[in-house]
Amino acid sequence: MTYDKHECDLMCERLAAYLEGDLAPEEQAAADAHLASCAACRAVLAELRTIVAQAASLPPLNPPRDLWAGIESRIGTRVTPLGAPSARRAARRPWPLAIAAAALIALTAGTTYLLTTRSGATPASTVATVTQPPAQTRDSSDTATRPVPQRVAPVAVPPSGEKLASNTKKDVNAARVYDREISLLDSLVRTRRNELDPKTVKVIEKNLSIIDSAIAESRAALARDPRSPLLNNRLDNVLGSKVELLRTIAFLPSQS
Amino acid sequence: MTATATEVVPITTIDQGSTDVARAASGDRRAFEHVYRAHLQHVYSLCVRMTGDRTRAEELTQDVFVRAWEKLSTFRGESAFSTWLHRLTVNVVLNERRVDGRDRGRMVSTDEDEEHDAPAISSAQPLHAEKMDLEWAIAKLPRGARQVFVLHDVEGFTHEEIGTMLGVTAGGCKAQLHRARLLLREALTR
Repeated sequence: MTYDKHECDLMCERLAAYLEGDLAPEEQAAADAHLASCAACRAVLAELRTIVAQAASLPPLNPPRDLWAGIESRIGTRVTPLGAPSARRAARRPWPLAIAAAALIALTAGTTYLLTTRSGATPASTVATVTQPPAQTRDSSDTATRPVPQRVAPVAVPPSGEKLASNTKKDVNAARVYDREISLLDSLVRTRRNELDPKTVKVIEKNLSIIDSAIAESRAALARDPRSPLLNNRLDNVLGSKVELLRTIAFLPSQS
Repeated sequence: MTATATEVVPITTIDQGSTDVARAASGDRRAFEHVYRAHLQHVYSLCVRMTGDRTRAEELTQDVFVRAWEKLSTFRGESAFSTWLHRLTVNVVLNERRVDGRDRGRMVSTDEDEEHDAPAISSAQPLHAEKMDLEWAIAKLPRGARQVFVLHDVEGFTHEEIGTMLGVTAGGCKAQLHRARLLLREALTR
């Protein structure tokens, strides 16, 4: 090994071009000859090559938090209440609105069927119910944050205390209608779960759990006494409560 | 990065990525969220290394994806989407340098070339080029040297491409690169 300061200084000057392969052939040959005899310059070159190699294989980095919420809030209006979509959202993601509309139409139809079936031929009173128009048909300029109910033709309901004095077969049919409506709304609510504030979801789940327990208790009691008007009425009420709750959830605004 | 035989990307993944990009370009935000999650690491890593500031990199990462959302309709598929997004990220980071007054104080303090002359070459200490150390040392580089080093040695751009991005000659870019490498070597041998 030889050490020639002049040669080492020259090598330092040429190091960048050497690493880039930019030296002329005669310069390259001279640099190779010096490197072959100078351990210090070889070590420097090796260290620089190590840095280059390490840089090319650096692993990807992860941000310490999810950045999506901040991005989503900037790329457009957040998910709006199902009854009042923005024009852009309605055009691009029609399926949740279609599901909402279908579920609510089914709900209204089912409720009408349920009530008229239970009311018999001579209803004692009538009330007007409300329904939500299909979301796609609404004016996209509507900026309301809550859906605006529209009145529809009144449907017959039985007088209080009489509606469940019908036969067991009709009660079974009514329960099936409720179950079907609850199932539809349940599907809708599941699709919206990720769009809602987690705290709201927690409260919803707690309330649904309480109602489901009440439904289970009522059904167990009815199994022992199927013709009890009191128990039928109780089951009716808790099923109705569940439908109302699910319906409310379907219209909740997304978290902002 | 070169794929090895054990790193074959399933074709379904590629298809899904293309589908998500196409759907996002038509305004599907859920598809765009998939695009974001697929490319987040790369964009964030580039922002961190280009700025040397993880907090600022988070903001810039968000800026990149917002810009990508706005410009997706201009993506024609002539290059891979990752390449397109990569270029966009570099542009956002470099543009931030030009327009963001908030960064001016930091720019001045880290970009004074005379304060960061290329160090004299010595070999008194062995090199400690662990990747964590290298990340730290890159963050400590003066901005100009850091950006050239990251774009060339980490991201694989050519000197000509970097020169165009930064508005410098290829020769100037090479000089900055060598300076950056020597500064890193010095930092890692202390």
